[in-house]
Amino acid sequence: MVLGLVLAGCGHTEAHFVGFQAPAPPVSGTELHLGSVPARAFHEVGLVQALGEGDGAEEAALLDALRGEGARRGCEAVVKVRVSRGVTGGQAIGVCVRWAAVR
Amino acid sequence: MSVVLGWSPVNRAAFPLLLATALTGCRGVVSYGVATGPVAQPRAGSVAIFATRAPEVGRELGIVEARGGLGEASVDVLFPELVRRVQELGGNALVLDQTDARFELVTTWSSYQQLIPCGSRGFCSSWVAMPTTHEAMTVVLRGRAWALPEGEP
Repeated sequence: MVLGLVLAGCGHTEAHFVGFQAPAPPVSGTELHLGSVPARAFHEVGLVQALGEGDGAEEAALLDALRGEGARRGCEAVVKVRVSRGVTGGQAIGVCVRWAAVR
Repeated sequence: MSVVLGWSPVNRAAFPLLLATALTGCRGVVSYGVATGPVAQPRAGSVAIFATRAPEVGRELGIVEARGGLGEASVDVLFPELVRRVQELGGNALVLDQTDARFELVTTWSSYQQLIPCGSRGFCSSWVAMPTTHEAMTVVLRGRAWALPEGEP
């Protein structure tokens, strides 16, 4: 039972990023757009991904990791977010964007 | 379920086979590019990325895919491979259509040597092979190699 309790608390989430253009400065908050692309004009900056195992594969953990990595990489939003989960692992992935300047 | 392999010459041959079977489960990154129109010459240079929409100009050259698991499922590993496939098809742009993950149960065999007291003053050894089933995640990136007119975007 002790082993079961220890295992139940196991898990980790890791975040990855690949950029399409020059790095952007970090932002304080990142919007997540699940499965959708907003109508507002934007520039694509890169691809953000969160991979998780165990507790780290819970949807909330994956989206938190995606948002955190997005903020570090200067994503004002992560759009077209897709979450895929199995029994022990999961992934959240989306496109990092910065809003286009309003003219 | 376990399989006990006695230490006979036949099973000495079986052990490397089991090991090889287990190792070939780690396939790393797999990718391909298939032309869907006239074949173009491979090219080097920059590749423009369209991850949310296809460009309004240019034409499709082919389909590209990269997938990886077991530590090679990250976008920083898979994405450069996808771009390389675009260049192989002669493209200067990638339209990223699909980012997905697949999950499947994979059985691998591991083996260990077992020592059992036997006779009056010694041990007999045998190899025991045991199957382990686990879930394997494969990340798949799929898109289209695209030819933009010179000077675009």
